[in-house]
Amino acid sequence: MGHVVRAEWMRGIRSWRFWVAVAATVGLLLLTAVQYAQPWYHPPTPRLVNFFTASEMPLGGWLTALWPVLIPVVAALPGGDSLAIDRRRGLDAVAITRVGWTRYLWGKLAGGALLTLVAMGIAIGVVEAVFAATLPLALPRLLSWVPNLSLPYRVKISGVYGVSYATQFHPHFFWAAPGLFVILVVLVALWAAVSLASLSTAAGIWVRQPLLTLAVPMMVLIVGDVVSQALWRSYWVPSVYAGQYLSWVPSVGSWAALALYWAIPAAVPVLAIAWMAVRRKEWPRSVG
Amino acid sequence: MGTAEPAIVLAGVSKRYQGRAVVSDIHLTVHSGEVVGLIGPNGCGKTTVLRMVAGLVQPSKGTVAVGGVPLTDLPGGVPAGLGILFDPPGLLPHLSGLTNLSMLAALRQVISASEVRQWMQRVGLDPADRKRVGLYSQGMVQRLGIAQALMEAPAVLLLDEPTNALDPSGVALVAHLIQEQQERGAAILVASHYLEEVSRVSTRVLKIAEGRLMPAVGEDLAREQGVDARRVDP
Repeated sequence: MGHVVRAEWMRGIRSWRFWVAVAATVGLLLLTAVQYAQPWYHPPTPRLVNFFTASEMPLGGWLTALWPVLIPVVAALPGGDSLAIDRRRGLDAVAITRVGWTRYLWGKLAGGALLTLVAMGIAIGVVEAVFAATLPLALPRLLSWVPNLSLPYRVKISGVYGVSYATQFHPHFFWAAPGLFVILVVLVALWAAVSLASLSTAAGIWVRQPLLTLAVPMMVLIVGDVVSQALWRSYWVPSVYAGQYLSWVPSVGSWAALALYWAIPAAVPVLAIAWMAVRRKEWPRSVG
Repeated sequence: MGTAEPAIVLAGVSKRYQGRAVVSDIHLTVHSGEVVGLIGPNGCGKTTVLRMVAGLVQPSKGTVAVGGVPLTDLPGGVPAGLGILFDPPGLLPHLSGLTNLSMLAALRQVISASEVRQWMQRVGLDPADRKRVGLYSQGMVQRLGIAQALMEAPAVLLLDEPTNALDPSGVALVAHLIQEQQERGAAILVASHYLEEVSRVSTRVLKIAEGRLMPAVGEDLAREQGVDARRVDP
């Protein structure tokens, strides 16, 4: 399996799709940081200033909210697309006859996960660098925000790594070893992303539809989010759009608001499944 | 894989896709050092037979054994020591020819980097050429595909239309390489549309029509295409 992973790495890192995934991830991260920066301050400040202070956004806020969009992009381009290209170019047959089905499929999963991990790591690194470069503009607010920390940790931890975790997730560990805590939070976040990417690649292999990679992480995250909302708050919409949903309820009622909210998102998987069903009929290629 | 034991055995093999019979009741034995040509028109089932031998397609009925072992008994479902050339030949267009071959060689790790370079030269390509395969001509792609199939000295070779897109010198090169592999002891199945090309390299030629190996067709074919009837024998 290691040979397949190495081969995946060799081809992935040379593929423009991998670098598009990195660029798309960076773009999405920055864009969302700007969007989230808007309501973060009270009263709201002009957008440009918010961009420069976006480094204060906690990881639990903007990054995790972005995952449903981010992970499919990162996973699909280098990982899922690798399957599609193998199929189109006949490389799947050539590789399988060299290493067998099992090693090929596990190698694909591991290779896709590795590339996703690296793409996300590079993207987060780039975004970190952008935020670090803009930190001087945000520094006065950072200093007042976390007054009990020494300056290096104030700057570091107030960035994308997320102060919110410090108060919610093992705070004693955070205060004992803040640097280690930051690394752990980032690794857990990346691992969760890679797990979802692998899951989607596996689903793509299972139903013989590589492009399913695009949809699975989004579906998993949305379903998980909606179920948690339903359990804790008793409404069946993702947390990101809960405010919108609640604003509709007084005027149209809860059921109509729910139907209104889900009408468009529901159309997407229905169309996707129909499309995949059509494509699957074409799958047994080349019987000549 | 000894010479006495057949390298490839297909026993009563059939394949159906979505209710349609693509291959029906194929019985075929190929020994080491033997080149068997399969000829027939598009869609007759040649590629499916080759893909079943490679373990890429499961027969709906019957058994396929390679090296004396049924494929269903093999871990991973694919026989070891197999070289294949299908269309498309399994090359990535964004990588150079050498990188493509190196990547494939890295999967098995039975040949060195210098041997990979030598194989590129043997098929008439320059290993120092950094041009992407996407910019290759069809003939160059086919030559590279042949190199990937042969470079690891496989015990069983499955070649589907090996002379596709090749000029006369390329066709001669393929014939020479197949003969060389045969002398080395490889069991070789070659599928093609062209009887003349196949009969030039094969010890035996079989015709597939509508998914069946046709009996007693050799003489007819030979008469039609003017080749040695003794070599056209099911």
